[in-house]
Amino acid sequence: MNINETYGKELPLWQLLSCREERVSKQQMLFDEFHLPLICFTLNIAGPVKRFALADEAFFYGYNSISDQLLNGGFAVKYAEYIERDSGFEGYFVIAGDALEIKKMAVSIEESCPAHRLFDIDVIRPDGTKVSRSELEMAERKCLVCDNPAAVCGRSRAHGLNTIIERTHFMLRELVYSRKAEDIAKKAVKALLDEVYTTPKPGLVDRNNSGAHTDMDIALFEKSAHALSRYFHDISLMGMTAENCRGALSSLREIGKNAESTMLEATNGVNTHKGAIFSMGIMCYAVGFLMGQSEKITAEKLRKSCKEVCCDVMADFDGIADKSKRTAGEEFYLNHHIAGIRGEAYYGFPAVFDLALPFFEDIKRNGFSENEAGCIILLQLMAQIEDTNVLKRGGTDGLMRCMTKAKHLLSVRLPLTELMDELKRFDEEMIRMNLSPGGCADLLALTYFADSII
Amino acid sequence: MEIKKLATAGTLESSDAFITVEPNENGIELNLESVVINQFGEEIEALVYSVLDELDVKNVNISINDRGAVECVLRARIETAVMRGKE
Repeated sequence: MNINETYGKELPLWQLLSCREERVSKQQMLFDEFHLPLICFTLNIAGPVKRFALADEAFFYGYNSISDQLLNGGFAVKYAEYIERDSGFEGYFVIAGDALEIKKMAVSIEESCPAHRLFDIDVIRPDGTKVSRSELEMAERKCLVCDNPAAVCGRSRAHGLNTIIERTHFMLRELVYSRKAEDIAKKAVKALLDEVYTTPKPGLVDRNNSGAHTDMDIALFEKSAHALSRYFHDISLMGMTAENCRGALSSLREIGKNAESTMLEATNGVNTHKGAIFSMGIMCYAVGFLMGQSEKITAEKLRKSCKEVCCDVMADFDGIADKSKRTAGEEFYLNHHIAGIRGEAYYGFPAVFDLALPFFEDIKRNGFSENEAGCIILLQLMAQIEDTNVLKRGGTDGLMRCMTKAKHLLSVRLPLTELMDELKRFDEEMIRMNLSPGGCADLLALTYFADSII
Repeated sequence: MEIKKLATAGTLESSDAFITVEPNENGIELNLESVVINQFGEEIEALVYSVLDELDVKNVNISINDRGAVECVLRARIETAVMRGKE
């Protein structure tokens, strides 16, 4: 846990008290102007330190939740703003509506998850009176630590300030981390979907056809990607709470296995995203880890963290020469010295960070659409990467033909429309040869993901 | 110290208190409301008299609407209300 997240300046009591009075004058100003009920939203942060990164972040999650709920509930919001004080951020919403109805909405947010206990969403009528929970026949708020009413424990300081502060910080972390993990998962799922939507892709499932596959189509990929959302969330959260990420891969195997079962269940036994579960899982964990350290995520840092997570991955190949039965990946390593996705992971995904990502930025700047850029990136990857999926079906001969063709298409520097036509022909060729560069597709998805994170 | 005019301090937010002081001629009149009156009513009352005594306020009409303020907050709010009322 990064100490900076909960470290801040102590606010003297007199200053806290004057901030509260200023808050009430602010409310009065809004009543004078609008004569309507208002929401005043603050965080409930125990202790003399009110301002630190985690608390500020939690405020904005809360503020945005209220905004969303007001919008979804069809409330007529006449005015909304947030202001910054030494005692923390304050959010204001003036609403042309019934104060009780507004309070109902507010309480539903406060109660929607345990960490929302830290949200104070006051609803105040134009005469300055607060709508109380008892008016909705609801119990008063409970203490952060026990089941007694908050006011009683707060007044008697029943649990000691340190316990309350620790509990507050724990809840803040829970709140902020789970939202961040959700965010990472959303981006991971989107990257998988963007990859499958990228069209035309030689041999792969795309919007045009199912490529060299008979058992899957775009709808199956969509189902599978969405089913993996929970996995990406959980693995990101594991990264956020990790003290260090060195060699973490071994501790991720089990959650990865579970994700495979989830995928197979969603696809009725078809392997749509097995490679992505491995590589996207690693990258989600690395992103989570960096966020947990409050680091600004750069391509370099992300690459380094992925590399650290996977520092032991090559041990997978230990002793394979003596094995009587080997997996396809083990065979390739033994016979062709191709380490496949493990090798990529071991070096921190150089195909993504050295090849695809810089190129992606570059061609997007040159006015290519995201889809066109994706197609060209895939072609780049197909030209450079010894894709074990192609090797598995087509042998070295198939792999060479595939790589040579990709290199050729890149070297002739065709105008874009012609290149896209050539890609369609390449697709037909790959389908005829029954080849599908699934490994390159996974790297494309990783590139989309890294691009959305950095 | 003499209370010369009506003055207020504090807010009705939770863990705070709203204090009103007004001039009075016949000693101290206290009107106390509190969300924790059953648990802390007497304690709060004793605190009010002790703070007023420290400030040498002999005559005042004081209303307190307490929303669960801890002692140091209550004390600060009462002191501020008195300071605002003496001017």
